[in-house]
Amino acid sequence: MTIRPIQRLISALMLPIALSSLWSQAIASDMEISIEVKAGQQRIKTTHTEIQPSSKKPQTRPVCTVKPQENFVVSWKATNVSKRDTFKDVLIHCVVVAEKEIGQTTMPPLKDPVQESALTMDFKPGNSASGKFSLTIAEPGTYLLRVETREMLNTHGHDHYAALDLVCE
Amino acid sequence: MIFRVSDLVRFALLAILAFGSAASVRAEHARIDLRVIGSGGKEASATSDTDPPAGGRNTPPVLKVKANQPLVLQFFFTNTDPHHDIDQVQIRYYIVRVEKLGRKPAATFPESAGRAKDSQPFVEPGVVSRGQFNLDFKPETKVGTRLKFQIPAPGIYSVRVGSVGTQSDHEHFSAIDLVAE
Repeated sequence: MTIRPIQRLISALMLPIALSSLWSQAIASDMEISIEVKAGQQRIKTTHTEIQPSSKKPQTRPVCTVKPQENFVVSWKATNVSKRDTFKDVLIHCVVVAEKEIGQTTMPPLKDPVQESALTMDFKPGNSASGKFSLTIAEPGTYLLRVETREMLNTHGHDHYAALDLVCE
Repeated sequence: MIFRVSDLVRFALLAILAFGSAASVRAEHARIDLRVIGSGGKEASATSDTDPPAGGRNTPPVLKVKANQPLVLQFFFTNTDPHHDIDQVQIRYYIVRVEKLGRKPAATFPESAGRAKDSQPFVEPGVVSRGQFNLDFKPETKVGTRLKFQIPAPGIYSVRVGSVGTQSDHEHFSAIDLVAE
């Protein structure tokens, strides 16, 4: 079958555009997620949105200390900072779950979390979703607080998250 | 442990939010499934009500619980309005101490912004727990939460989840009353 010149031209144009698009998606921080915890006089914030999968080692997580049965407040925000792309049907997932140690790099099993929440939204450029909730932890221990995107890996090449550690003592 | 959450429940939470359900679109604008799960598997559940009238039309179900015992709050809020995208809707939930059982207006919390936002406590006396999500709605948008909590002292408490700012003449909510002994 003969390929017409116009089709050849389109093919020639499309390949670099597609590669360029994939490359820009791979390097851009297009969703920013931030978390803040207020516990007593402490105000602990995340400063970095991680991407996964990533060959880079994640940055050290901030640590917040809380007391058993002490109310503390978690605020998070997820923003599409891309100037062009709309991300459709993004699932934002937030979880507070026990982990073995501070800074644990593997995701703990999501069995019996203290709090778990999720929402779905289309993120146009500049759009944000946010959450704020009070929480108490009954059992002393170390807990992971993580807010993440889900369902973006297949459509977008990677997911995003921010996280910090809670030490209940 | 009494309230161990099975993987099944967790996956259901995520699956429902991620992929939606096949339920047909209704005339109502929201579908709510609110549950409070107590010891021994005792639970109360409530579905969507509307405000106004203040306090809704349905009498909240009552669940007897014990103070300082672990409980679980779980809800799914689904926007079933098939026609409109609505920017910056707030879904809020709370567990607060109240005077009486039955229908009652939503609790109010001081709204604060700017510098006042930092000085205003998010959890005031009488509030066991509260939370809110701000997001853009489109048809079948979903919000869900599962939260462990305890009632700190005997008394009557209201558990409620509802919408704010849907640019409609009414909001949707769901409520359960707890009697803590």
